[in-house]
Amino acid sequence: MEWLTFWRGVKSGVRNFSRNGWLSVATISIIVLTLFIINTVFIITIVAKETLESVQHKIDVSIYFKSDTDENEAKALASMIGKIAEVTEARYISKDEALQAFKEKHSKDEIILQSLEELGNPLQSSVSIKMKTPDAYQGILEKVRVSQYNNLISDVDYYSEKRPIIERLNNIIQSLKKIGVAIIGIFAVIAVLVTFNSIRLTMYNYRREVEVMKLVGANPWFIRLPFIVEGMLYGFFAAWISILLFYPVVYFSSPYIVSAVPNVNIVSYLHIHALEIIAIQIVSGVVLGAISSLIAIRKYLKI
Amino acid sequence: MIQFRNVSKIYSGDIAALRNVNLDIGSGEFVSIVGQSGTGKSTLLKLLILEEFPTAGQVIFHDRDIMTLGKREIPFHRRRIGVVFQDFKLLNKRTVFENVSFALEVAGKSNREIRQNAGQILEIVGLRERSDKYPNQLSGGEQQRVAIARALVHHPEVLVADEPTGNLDMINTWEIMELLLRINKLGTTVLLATHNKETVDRINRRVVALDKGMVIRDQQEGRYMI
Repeated sequence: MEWLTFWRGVKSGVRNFSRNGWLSVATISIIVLTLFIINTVFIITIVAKETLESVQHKIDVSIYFKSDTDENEAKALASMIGKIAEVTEARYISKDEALQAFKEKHSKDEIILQSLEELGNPLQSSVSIKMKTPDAYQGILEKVRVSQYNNLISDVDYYSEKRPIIERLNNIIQSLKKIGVAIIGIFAVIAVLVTFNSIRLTMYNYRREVEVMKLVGANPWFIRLPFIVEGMLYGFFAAWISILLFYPVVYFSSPYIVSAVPNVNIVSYLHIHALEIIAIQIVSGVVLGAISSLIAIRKYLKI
Repeated sequence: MIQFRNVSKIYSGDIAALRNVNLDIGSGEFVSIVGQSGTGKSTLLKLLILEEFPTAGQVIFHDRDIMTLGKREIPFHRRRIGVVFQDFKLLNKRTVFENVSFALEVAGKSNREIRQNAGQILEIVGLRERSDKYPNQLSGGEQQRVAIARALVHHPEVLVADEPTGNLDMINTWEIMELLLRINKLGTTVLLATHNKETVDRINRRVVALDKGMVIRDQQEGRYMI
């Protein structure tokens, strides 16, 4: 198609869009609503995911040594683990330090403190490990198991206590993502259907024009282009309006979100990712609009 | 130039609009296709502009079976054949000039070409002064002249007119018939489907009579007889 024909097609799409008046307004409003819901779901998913992940990152794993373990050897293991890339912290905790921490933790519990007096120090020395991603513990522990230090170890709390928690959090994050994607998908389909229906109405209104264009031998893409442009315009405007509505809503509701989930700052998240989010919204709005038009064209525009 | 070879068109439910039609139309001819309503006149014309497809047989235009035309070629084929209908099919929200120029616009002609061509054609059909009027401000005859101007704007080799005078009174009918004859004189082949006996008898040109989808008579300088 030549440039001139293309330009005329675009112009007549813009004209159809503006002449549709209330139909355009109604269509855009519903798309704005669905985009708004999509955005909300998106933000909720992000908040929940970040929260769960921050909990996950607080989890540490301890390797406990047998009571006769030489302190130097234990420290050597700690420094070996500390050198592994994914590890953020590997700290050796001696028996005495462990006792000190235990006492502090239970400083108000007389019974426990009394029984400690009688028992002496029943605690073991250990290495406490923190990692960037909770998934990597398994690999590190495997490395330790095959190392020379394996016979020093009496217990690792990962398998009995920490792994089930990490896995459960992982499962929750995964299903949260799936639910988020599903809801976003459903509303995207709704947006497509609404646009599709409006394009169908426009086609009905312009059936005479289409008939005449066919008769006089118009290029088929010249007949289709205005409807595609119209669909894209619905998506374009709806995306902008939903962005303009969404930012103030997030801004004003963020204090409540922060008080509920202190370690997630939605406003700064949106600030940092602003361009990305706007671009994604506009592009997906325009693409969804074009897809809706193409479906309507395929179904109803017989050229 | 145009040949129908054993053409049949059967709609669903075994309703035959055309049965085994054979017809040869030469360049520059003026052919009236006559017959009662529902005898297949319109179907025959629709096959030629690929609005409908034959169930059997071939429609040949300039030695090519038009069924073999690719999707991209169809618009170009349609530009070689101008069409007018009983109901004019004008766009009421556009002026006379815009209705005519619309046909050039959609074919990707430049604005300069559009101004020149559309003006020229409106001159030929005698509506230059009425360029800025809207279709509903014109008489039926004038509206049909606009439709003819639009059909002629691509300088087609063939002008197909399906009951062009069906909605018009005697005077307007004659104006349109004279215009068609003049267009034919300028070299355009004219195919006219009509059941208007008087006009057919008066112009004294080739007449093809259809009955129940079959050609029952084909006469040079014929009269309307079924």
